[in-house]
Amino acid sequence: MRRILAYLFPVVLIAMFSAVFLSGSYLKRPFGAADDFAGHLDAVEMAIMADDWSRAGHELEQAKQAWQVVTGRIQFSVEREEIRGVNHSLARLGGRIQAADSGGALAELAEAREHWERIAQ
Amino acid sequence: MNESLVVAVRAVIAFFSLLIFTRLLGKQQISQLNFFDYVLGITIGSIAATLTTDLSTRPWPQLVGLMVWTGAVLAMELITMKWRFAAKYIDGEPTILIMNGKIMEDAMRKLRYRASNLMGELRVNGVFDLNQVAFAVLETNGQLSVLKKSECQPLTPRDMDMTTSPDGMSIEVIYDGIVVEQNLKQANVNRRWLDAQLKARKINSSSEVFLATVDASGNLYVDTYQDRLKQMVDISDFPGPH
Repeated sequence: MRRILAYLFPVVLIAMFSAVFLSGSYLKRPFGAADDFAGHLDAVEMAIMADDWSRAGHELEQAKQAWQVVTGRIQFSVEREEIRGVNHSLARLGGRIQAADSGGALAELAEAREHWERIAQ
Repeated sequence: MNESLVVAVRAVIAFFSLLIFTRLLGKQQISQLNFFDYVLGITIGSIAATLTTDLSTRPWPQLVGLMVWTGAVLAMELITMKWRFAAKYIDGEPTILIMNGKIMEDAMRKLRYRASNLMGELRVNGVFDLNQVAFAVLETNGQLSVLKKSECQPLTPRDMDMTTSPDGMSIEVIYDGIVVEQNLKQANVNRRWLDAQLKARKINSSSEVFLATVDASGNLYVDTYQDRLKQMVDISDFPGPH
């Protein structure tokens, strides 16, 4: 029994490490409304298309909060540059929304989505 | 993203992965490694280091790299163990550099081995006079094995027709103050014998003993925590911090 455990222990450990490093694609999925980052980005887009800038700003805040929750979960399995990419896109998107620049805002939104999709791929 | 936390988690994972993979690769000592094995070791260590601190890449491909390199080394070890031709092809063969006292210049040239290297390695082997050497063989791990001429070999008890008692491994019977019951049986002694031996040495309890071993002839070696040395030898030649 002890011999089996001696062999099993490292196998289980490596399996656990692999699971941690591969968990990104699973953990980026929403587990509720609060962490539905992609859903909030869609809502931001709809608000921009409708020229409803105050709703766009509100949805962006929701997206940022969702992003914080998701980042905490996926940080161990994804590359830092993609996380930074989303952070920067969201920051620039905030500026575009403040300036009521729909073209620029949609471009930033597209970039944020691109980073988001590349995470844990 | 908390970078310090991510690095800490990755470090723990890399540490244990490396521990597991190196245990898997066996117990070859650094001195037994050939140059390729040495480079493989460095590469695997380097991948583990990157896995720990390079946050600009995903960790999974790095772990895969670590596993593949370990797998490749393991495969090479198995192939060279089972297939002699592959072993010779991969590891190379030992080369005779001195044969019957004559230096093999062609072999040395092929290996880009200088006379000064040869003299240095001979000195490491305790040979300071080339006249003493019958054979010198450069092993695949780069070490030089030297066979001295028979007249220069050290005298052994067999040369003198002397009988000696058989040697064997010492078995630890007390380790860090604790009696190792399992080893008592192996050394063919018992607790009562051990206690009597300790008493004879004026030791009241096994907890006073740092290490005690029994050799193949049944002799007990005991070292206590209190060394009771009358005069300490100090090899320091400079008043350093300690």
